[in-house]
Amino acid sequence: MLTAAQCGLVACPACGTITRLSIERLDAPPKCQLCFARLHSRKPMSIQRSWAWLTAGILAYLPANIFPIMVTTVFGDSEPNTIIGGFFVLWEMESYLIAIVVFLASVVVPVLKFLAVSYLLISIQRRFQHSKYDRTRLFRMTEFIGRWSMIDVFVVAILAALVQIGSVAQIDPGIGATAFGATVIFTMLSALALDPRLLWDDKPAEGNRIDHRQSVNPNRDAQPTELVATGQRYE
Amino acid sequence: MERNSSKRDSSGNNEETSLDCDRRQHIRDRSIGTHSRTIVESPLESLVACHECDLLHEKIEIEVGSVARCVRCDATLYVNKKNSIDRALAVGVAALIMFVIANCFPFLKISVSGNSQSMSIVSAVFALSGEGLWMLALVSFGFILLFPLIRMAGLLYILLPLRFNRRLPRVEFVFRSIVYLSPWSMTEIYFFGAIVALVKLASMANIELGYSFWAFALLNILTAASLQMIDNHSLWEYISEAKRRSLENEAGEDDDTSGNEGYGKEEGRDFGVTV
Repeated sequence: MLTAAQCGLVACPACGTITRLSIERLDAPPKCQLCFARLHSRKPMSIQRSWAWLTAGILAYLPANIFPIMVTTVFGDSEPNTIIGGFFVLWEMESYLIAIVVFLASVVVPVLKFLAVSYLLISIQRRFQHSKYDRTRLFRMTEFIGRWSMIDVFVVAILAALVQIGSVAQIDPGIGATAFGATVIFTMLSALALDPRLLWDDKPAEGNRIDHRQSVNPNRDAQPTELVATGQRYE
Repeated sequence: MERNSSKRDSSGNNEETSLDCDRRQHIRDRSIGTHSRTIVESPLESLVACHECDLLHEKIEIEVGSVARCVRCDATLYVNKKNSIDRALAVGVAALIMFVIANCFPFLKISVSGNSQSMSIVSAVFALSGEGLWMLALVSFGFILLFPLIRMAGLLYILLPLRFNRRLPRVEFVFRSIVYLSPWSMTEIYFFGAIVALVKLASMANIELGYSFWAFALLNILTAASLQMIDNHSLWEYISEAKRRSLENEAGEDDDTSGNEGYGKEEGRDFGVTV
């Protein structure tokens, strides 16, 4: 089993073309020859950036739950709705399916995402060697499902745009919607920053600064050499 | 099942395994581990690295409609889609038309006891423009309108010249934009958000669906279809194919061939795409 990094190769993140990191181009930051995307063997400072976005997301989740995401006014009576309150209203209206969808999108998915990304990050930092396959699948699911939480923000936006019927009924978005949107975006960025390839690295190649001189293997017939990373320590 | 079989294969089973049935192929034993010497010798164009675990594989040709997966982590490496530029173009143009229609007509209309109010897709963005919400409005504008539009237009920008054998500048930049914007294009989420809003209001008010609602539904179906037909990988294959051809033409005109060494003259490169 050889990884691209162990052979001194880098796959372009955009077009997938494989490039050999070569000595001649040491001065210039490596770019894909074909599509000019910036190349890196592992996402630069993956762990730190992922933790940072995750922390921001968790912090934003508190005001998202405390402040109302929308304010409903029916015949002059204003009532603020929080995220969890919206779920209970739907549940009492006996539209269980939608209630469950809302609950999943606004509570279950964000919280699970916090837990999943934290677990993945800790598992990389502690260099867990077990269940790499399952953790990769966990990452894939996290990445896929995260953006669907945005549905809550869109529901608020649509309701606020539609229900503006003079004195009868009016719905206005609340500050909690911004906080919730921020949570979703930050956790998406956190998942994007996390490099799943780190899950598989025995000697983690964290960081962007690969020591080209040691990683390059100019003689194609020689045995592949181990990549030496000189990035930041990440513990 | 899948997973077990691929795991077993990767753990040193050396003989050639027959490729999988039901439209899924694993590149069995093409993972580099079993013959690590050959990988170092093989040309870079014939290699593919898993984008999720970095394992190197040798590319093989796969049947139309099947998927090449990583032997170690099961991620999709590449897909041989039953596609042609013509079909992708047709769907792309249709999606763009639907996008325009969806933004010209009312999306939903509500009426309660004589009063009525209608909204278009953009008005959801404007509804968020209150105090402390303008940032959210800006971001939603990107997610619902701007990024999907850039993506659709970009796809046409790449595909149209390919269809007519021309080259437009900065195709690489457009391609990269499409790749990086794809997680942030959320029309389908907006559509499901509209459905949730409908259900919420259905018991209290009378709601009509506008033309734009149906156009938007079609837009989402077409987007899904175009993703079925052409993914980022095969799109890049088209581009690099055209690039290579034009480079070969240039090389034919003057004898300076030093420039096109990197562009994979090997036959092995044109796998997976049938133009």
